[in-house]
Amino acid sequence: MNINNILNDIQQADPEFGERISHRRGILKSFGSKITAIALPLALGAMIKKAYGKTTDAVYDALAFALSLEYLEHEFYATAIDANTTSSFIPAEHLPGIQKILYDEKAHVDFLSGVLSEAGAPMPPKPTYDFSGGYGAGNGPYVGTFSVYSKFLEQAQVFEDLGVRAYKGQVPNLMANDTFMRAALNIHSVEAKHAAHIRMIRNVPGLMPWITAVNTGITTNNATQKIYAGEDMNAQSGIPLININGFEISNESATEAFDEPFGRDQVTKILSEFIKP
Amino acid sequence: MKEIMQEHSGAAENVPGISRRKFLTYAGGIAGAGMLIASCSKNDDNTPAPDGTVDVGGNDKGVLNYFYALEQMQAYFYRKVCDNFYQNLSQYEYKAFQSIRDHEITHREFLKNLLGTSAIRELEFDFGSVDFISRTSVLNTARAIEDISVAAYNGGMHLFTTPSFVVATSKIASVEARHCSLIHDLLTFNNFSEGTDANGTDPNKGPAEVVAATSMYFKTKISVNNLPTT
Repeated sequence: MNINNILNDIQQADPEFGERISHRRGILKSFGSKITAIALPLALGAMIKKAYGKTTDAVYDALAFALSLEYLEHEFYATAIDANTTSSFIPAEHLPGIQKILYDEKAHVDFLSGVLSEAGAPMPPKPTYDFSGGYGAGNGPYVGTFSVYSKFLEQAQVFEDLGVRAYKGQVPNLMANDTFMRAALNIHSVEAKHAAHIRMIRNVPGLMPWITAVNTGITTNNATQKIYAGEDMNAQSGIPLININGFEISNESATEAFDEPFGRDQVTKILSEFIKP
Repeated sequence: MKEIMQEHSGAAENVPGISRRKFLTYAGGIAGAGMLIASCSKNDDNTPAPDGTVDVGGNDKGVLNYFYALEQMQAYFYRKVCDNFYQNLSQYEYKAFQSIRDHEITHREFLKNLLGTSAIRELEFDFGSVDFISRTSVLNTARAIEDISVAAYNGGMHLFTTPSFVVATSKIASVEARHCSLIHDLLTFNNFSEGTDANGTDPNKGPAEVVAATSMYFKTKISVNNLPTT
């Protein structure tokens, strides 16, 4: 992120903002990129605030939506790590990876809520979750997810693959603002890295880090299948991909090479299974 | 000029071996050159420069050509990997590399067809520095290529003005991130999201920085001087 320039731009337009963060800029200069990253939500929030009432509604909506997704992912992994301290249901060699995902999701929550808070924008409420997938009844198909490791990984895959689709669906809504678009893309790729890792450690024959047609390797609940709806596309932008230009490209490869987006309504509908009304 | 400096100066912190000051000078030079060319010629015909450098062009087609060049590089590399696999390859790695190769070929040919007559020519590459029978050498190169590819999509897609190009390339970007995750895991297990910052986000890089970081693999040099900067 080109934070120094963002800060400069904002300071020129808004001297008060410059005063507020001036001490942080000193820190920023002495400690480099880590502090720079921490200061980013502050700068982005100020950008929304500055432009408030102009082109910000779509940006705000996209960020609030992203935060609601990150809340869920973060709580999912936090609950798992918490349960693991007594039950050790996560294999020791996999634990550092799950902890890294938790760390990343926590950072996403802090980042997005920091941006919204600095913008003075309303914060989406954090719901109460039902990770059984039972719409709050606690008896959904994922009962036992925090004690049966294979079930936990299936659900993690569902959330990560869904996260990729959700961010991808929001990217075009952020075209009006380069900085926000890059920020969303920089999270989008991290969600995809998480998804790939979870798929690899599931160790299910034929299941790869990428999405092959609509094969999920998931047996818990057929309803989960809808999360992969449309991932079996083998043409893009009207261009057929199987054996494209004479290269030996199978239907599987054609579908794997492109991930598909989801709109907000599709994602919200799926998430509602995991939220207590 | 100011815009171009802004585009690249922050990300320069991530380039090993290039100091921030040096990088600014470098980006400034590129910006100046770009303006000079833009002011005296129409530059969307990808005419090779006298030294054989291929200009990806300007506007949305230039951005597509820039990604097309990167996909050409990746497809070439993975084809070499699969033509002569390294020793002690696992069954999983065998399947994974063949899949990645096919994904990159699909990306390359898709972008070529999307560009139609505006596509740049087939470029030549040089991976002479890679020992293809060494797992470490192949995986380290794959990691470098995937890292830069993820950063390039993250830092280049905002240059499009046509939403459908953003949608199409965002579908590719996450697949590159999936490759990247696997390669990191194969090198060091659980290192799949190595490189995220304090916000849990991946780095992004602008075209000039990406071209500089991959130039050792490009036998045919490419120029991104005429790409849009915002």
